[in-house]
Amino acid sequence: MDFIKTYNIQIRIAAAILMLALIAWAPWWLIILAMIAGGICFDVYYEVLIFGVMIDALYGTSGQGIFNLQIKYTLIAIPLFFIAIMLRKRLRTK
Amino acid sequence: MTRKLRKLFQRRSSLHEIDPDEIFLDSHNIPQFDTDQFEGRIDRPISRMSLIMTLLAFALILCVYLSRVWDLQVVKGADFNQKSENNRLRHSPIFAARGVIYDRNNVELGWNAPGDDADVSLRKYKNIPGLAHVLGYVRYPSKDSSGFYYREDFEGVDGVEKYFNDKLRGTNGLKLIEVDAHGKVQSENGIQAPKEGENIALSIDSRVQSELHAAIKHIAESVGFNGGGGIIMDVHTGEVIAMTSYPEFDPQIMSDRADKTLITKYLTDKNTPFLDRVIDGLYTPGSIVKPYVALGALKENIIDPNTNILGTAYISIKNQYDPTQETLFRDWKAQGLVDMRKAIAVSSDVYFYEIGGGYKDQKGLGIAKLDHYFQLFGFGEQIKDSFFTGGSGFIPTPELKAKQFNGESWRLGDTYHTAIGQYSFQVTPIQMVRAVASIANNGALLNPTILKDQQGSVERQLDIPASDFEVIREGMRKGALEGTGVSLNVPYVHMATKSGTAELGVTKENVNSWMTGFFPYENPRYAFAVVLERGSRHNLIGAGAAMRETIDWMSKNTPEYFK
Repeated sequence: MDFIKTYNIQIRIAAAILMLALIAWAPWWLIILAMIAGGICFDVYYEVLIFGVMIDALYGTSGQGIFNLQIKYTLIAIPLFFIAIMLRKRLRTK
Repeated sequence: MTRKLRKLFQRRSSLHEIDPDEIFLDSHNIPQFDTDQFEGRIDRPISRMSLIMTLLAFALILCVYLSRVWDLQVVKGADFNQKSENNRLRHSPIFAARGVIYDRNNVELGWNAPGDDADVSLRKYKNIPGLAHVLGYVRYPSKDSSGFYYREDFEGVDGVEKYFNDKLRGTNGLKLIEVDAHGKVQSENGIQAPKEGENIALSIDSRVQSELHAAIKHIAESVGFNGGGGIIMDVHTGEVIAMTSYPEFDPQIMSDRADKTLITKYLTDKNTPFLDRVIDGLYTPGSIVKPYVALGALKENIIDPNTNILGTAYISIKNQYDPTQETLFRDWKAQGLVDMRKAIAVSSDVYFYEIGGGYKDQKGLGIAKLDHYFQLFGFGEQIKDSFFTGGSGFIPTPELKAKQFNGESWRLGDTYHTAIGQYSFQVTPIQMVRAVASIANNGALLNPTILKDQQGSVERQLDIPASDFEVIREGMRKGALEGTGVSLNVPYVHMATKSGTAELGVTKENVNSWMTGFFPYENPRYAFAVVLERGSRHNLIGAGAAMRETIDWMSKNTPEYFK
């Protein structure tokens, strides 16, 4: 964690690039796992919202998957963003 | 020298850029900079390295996406192109209208009606009781949440809906639907027109059927029978005019499948409303088999029809295991002297014990001959390849007894009981009405038909003289006039009847109540069999009462059946 703190900006940029690569190539479940990992590792991981919107823009179609929604990754990313913030706060206080 | 060196250092130090930190040295002493917010950092020009790294990052992102585009467009392009074409164009069925089911008077019993789904019509059934087991019900075409039909046909599940499914369903057409990436329909084109299903006209008269059902239900509920069934058949064509089973299910409920509570109730009902008692119900017949024993006895010259036998309260034979003891075979009533006609009319057990198994000087048919004649009349045999194919029933024989009871030998008493339709004898009502019809029509064992104006095939013509059938018919008419079928002695038609009260179980507390017969007596046209299932033996009212209610109603509302 110290390493992440020291090189925070650089790691976040590298992680964002990796995430973009995953969005292009990886299966959906790996992307979700990566989004959760980002939320755990980084403070205020707002990138997740951008990734959610981006995945929906690239792949979102109606009539498929969860609840037939076209913006399902965005809808996953929003609670993930806030839950990650809350979890990190609690972990810190304890 | 010293001066020269100082000048040199002074020149070099003037070239050295002064860092702001060297000026504001105390700013380093401020604790806890938030470096993420660039606190404590000096605003400096972006370094060349940072620009290069940013460029590299964007180049990397570009490479990732270009490689993905290459993969999608070049490597898998053709494949995806084909898939997208398939996604764009959907094949969807145009459902053929299912054929309408009519009764013999052209009353619609099952037809199509528009439903909520524009593609699929609903199947509607005439809302009168008694039709369920004949009509059956359907399962509708079904689609998944994406709108794809995984069952593209109406499927007949029971009754004529099932048996004539191929005829009724027709052939579905086909349409092409163009959809966008969001699955929205852009256009539709029919490429193959549907072919409607054929209509069918049943031999059933829905009025009579409904009334027969109501009568069976009324008697069963008021007296305490578990269920029942009844059938009326044309003795010349084999056309079934009425065939009903109680209790029954609602075909509309079963097709629509909306009322889950009621369907669960049907499925858990101990009185089995899904059992078609006429075709699949196996019942101990009791005395209704006596006319067939009598026919066998006449054919085999066992007895002259006018010969009297003394119908005492019982006959006794020596106990096989203890000759000092006697085993009694009781009659339901001491009948006095009875000839064959009277024996049929009053249902004398002793008479049929004697001509069935033999007693003292009276020769009997014996179990082998009994079995032969019962088989001739279609008992113990499934009706073949027909709407009426169901239970085969059971005729007790020494071989089957040995098989069932670990080699136990056949005894004379078993023959006696078989001759009066007891022991392990079992028949279905459809077998029974077929056999009665063969008495009425002088020995043609007909295969029944459920279609209007169709001649049922003759399974076999029985090689028994018409005069023998005449004797039996006279006995059955006597039964209606003064015997056990007197409840059907009505002024508007001359009935000929044979009743039966089959005892059930070891305690014999429960009985099946039967009434069979034909009408009009002089020129028989219709045979009938009605059974009420498992009621108290103390009931005085049974199947005869149900048939009486039905013919009373028919005499007022459908008198054409008595002409």
